[in-house]
Amino acid sequence: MANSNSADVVVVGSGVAGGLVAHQMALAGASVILLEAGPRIPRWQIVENFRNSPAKSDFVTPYPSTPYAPHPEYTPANNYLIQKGDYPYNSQYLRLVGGTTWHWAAAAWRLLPSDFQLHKLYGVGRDWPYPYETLKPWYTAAEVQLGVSGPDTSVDLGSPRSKPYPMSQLPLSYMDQRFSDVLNAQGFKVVPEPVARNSRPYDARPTCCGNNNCMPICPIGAMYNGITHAEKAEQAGAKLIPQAVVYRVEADNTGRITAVHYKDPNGNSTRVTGKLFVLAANGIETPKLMLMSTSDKFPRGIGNSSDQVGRNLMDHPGTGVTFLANEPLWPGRGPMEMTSVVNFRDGAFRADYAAKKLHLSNGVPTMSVTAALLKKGLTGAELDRQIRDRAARTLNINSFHEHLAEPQNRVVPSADHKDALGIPQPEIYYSIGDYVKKSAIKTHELYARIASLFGGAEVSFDDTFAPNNHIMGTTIMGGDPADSVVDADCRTHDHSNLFIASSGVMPTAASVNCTLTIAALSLKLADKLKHEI
Amino acid sequence: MTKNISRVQPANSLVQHARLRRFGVAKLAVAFALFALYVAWHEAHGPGAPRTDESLITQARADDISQLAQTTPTPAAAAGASDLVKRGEYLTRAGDCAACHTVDKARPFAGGLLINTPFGTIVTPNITPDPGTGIGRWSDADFLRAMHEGIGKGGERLYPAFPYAEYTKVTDRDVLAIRAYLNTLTPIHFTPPPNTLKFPFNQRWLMVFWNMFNFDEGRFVPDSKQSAEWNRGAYLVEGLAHCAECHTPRNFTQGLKASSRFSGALQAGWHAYNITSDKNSGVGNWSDNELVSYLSTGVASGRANAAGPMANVVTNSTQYLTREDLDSIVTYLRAVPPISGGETRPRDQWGNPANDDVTALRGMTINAVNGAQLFIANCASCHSWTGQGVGASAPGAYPSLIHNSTVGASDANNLTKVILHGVNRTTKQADVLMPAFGAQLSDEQVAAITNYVTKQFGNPQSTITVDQVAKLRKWPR
Repeated sequence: MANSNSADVVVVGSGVAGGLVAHQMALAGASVILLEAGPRIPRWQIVENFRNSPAKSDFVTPYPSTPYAPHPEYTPANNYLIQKGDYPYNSQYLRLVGGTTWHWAAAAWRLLPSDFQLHKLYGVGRDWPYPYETLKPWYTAAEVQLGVSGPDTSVDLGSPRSKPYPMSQLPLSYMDQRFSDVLNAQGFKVVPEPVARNSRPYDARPTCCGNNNCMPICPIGAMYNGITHAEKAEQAGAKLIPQAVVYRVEADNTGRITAVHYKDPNGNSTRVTGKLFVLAANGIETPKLMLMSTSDKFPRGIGNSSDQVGRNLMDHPGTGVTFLANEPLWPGRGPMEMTSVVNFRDGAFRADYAAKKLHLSNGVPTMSVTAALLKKGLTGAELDRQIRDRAARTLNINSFHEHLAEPQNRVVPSADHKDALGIPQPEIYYSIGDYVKKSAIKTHELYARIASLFGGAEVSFDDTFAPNNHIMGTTIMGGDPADSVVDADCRTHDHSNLFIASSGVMPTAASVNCTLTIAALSLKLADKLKHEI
Repeated sequence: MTKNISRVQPANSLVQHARLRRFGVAKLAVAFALFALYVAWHEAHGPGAPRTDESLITQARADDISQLAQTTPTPAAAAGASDLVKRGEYLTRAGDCAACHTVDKARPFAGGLLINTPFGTIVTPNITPDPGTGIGRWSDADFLRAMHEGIGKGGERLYPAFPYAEYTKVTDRDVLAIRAYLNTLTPIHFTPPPNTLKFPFNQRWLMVFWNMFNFDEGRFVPDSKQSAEWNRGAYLVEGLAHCAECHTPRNFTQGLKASSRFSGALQAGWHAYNITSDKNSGVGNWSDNELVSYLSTGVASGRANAAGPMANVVTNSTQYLTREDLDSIVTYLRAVPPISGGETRPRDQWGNPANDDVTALRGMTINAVNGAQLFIANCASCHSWTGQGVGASAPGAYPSLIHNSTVGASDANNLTKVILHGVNRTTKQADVLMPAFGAQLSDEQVAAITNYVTKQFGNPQSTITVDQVAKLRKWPR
């Protein structure tokens, strides 16, 4: 059992990555301390926060940022992320026990085998230090841990599987079925999305009952949230300390990590020692912490002999389209997202421009439809009639474009913006290059074609790249210590007892949500740690 | 009441009591009877075997078992099993043997259920055919004696956690069919931990006294004045299914109280409801089909949903009974004389939909113990803010809280237990799970929700205090 200040394994961050590692290590009998910067908020309070929030479409509002562990807010903006690049990296993430998967759409994709060899196959970006096959069993394990429901084996998602999904897929909504039928008849490949959402009782959590607010909060826990493993870790004996903002990683002169230091909300500092350290504080806070942790021996920060910490920042820049179909499709029945268009995830074109995934939103459009009609001055019965008509026919499609790892896109601790505890805010330099822009032009054409298949009226393209909060690349994995931060085991090249569990290690962004890959990497990492304890 | 049924009652318990006093062991006997009550309670519902997370991940990586959390494979329903064995399997389910003897689904019938009592711990035995640790060396005669007389292979008295007081009614033929089925199970070499009972409760011979009060050995004798269906129902209800163990209150010797048979009892926090034919207090206003539906699916739509120990009974036992047997059980229950508990209307005839709470709560400060707010935040996403549920009568629907036999009951115990521990019920129709809220909510919060729900959707006189919640939280699921 860990005491407050020392443990076999010290994990920083209690989201899906840190929770999984802490849980596995506690099960293996190690003493574990799990440090979380943010507070602990019960699900029911988040639900009530959401219902009380006037900004329903801002998924952060039910999770108020705290002065001691702020996270980005946009309604109104708190300017936590200091934007210095030519494109704002307006990412969302949460700092509380359980982490950012409190609000997500639960998409649980595996990468494609080609995603591991982007440079080898297409001459762009980087390669992973191992092939898909190495991560494959950990994907399976991650799907079991998170509880993933997905299509049966007759649907090839491009990522070889050794066994079916733990749960069969939820029935498609009428809209998703119709969308699939129409597009698939025209050569598109629309598939049911694998999701960490229960289609039957699983792991003591209930079946999805279609509240349709996966984002910002699943009110019943049918969708996986990182809180599941934070709590499992505690039940297995890990000591979880909320409101513990780690601000320094301490190394001795041999390079071994000896401690991390955290501040409580009053600024009082505590030093936590351990044998093994795992940073799991997401792709922005983790590199920020490493870069802040400078010393005489490590003047560029912890793990940064390659100067790659904080660099290679990636996301999935997204564009969208909204139109009125010429038939009622009734979006909003079931979870918020159920199908994806996957035939642009790979191909020779990746030498030239970005892979992408398109996905149909199944969110209820009533609020945006109503706001637009009110703006037009409609009232009374006509307003009601048009809300019904338009809410039933509004289709919204979005996309993820693959971003390449480019060192100039980076996060650093701000020199002049500090939070209430005096800890530097993240400062971000971000740009979106031609690789993505070229692809987005073609995405626009695809949108137009899809809209025409539904006799689309009032087609409205949103070509501004939207953030998708998939923070990758900033503690990049690779075989060469000169140009990467961690090795194939997610161990930092510079410190034999410091590991990173995060999408920050991903050398390629691919075109799908990164959470399942985070989970697989975390379980693989935990397995490694079990042999070192 | 048949002659047969009255035979199991301590017909002249006062006389027996006097005799005991003469022996100077009355206190001991009463203590024993109390102890027996505990044990009998635990017998009635085995805890669900918790899945371990380690096994989740091991399974995932082993590339062999594709589904986790599957229901236990039926051990001997394999094709080609003899009719005798199939009948034995059916009867084993009717007797709900798995409730106590299957703790770990990976180890069916190998025993090991820890039954904690104030007198120590009893552990259920391995009844697989393993010769060393199970009952592989038992003869048929040994098995018959255990079932009919409560005596083990070595002549030792069995504790009445094992309901031989009911099993004694089961015919030799049926007992031997059960034995034949158990013989086909995979032998599992597993020795459950020993009982750790304190003196004098570790003295098995003392069961002689318990038997004097509560046990009348003998097979079921049909009543020729009653229909074949009634007799079949009586045979099942009073025998293998041992319904009375939970649904009948105990007399002062802790035997089943003859005058109150099936009128409901409170045990380990759960109310095993009145199942007499009383229209307000019992199930007299249920249709035959509703009773059959409840036993076969756990749901009588618009009335009741099985939770707690009864959900386990449905999951492990009654859902497998044939329509004929269920009809027989219903016929017999219908004939049970009505006993009123004083209720003024049926449990499932209370409550109205909420109509104004949602808007009233918007913008309100989030208060840790506001029943209406906690209901909206924790419960309404499935049961609807109106309390009317979601999914109507579809299998697996989230039930209405209005006209709900748990919410309308005259005590709030079962509602509180459901909030604390959730619901698990797996049937051929639906895999039903309500999450447990015990870990998320304080006793104050659980009491606030319970009292809001009974007031708004159920019997408003039914309330619970924070202290009562704390006690219910400590009982086993």
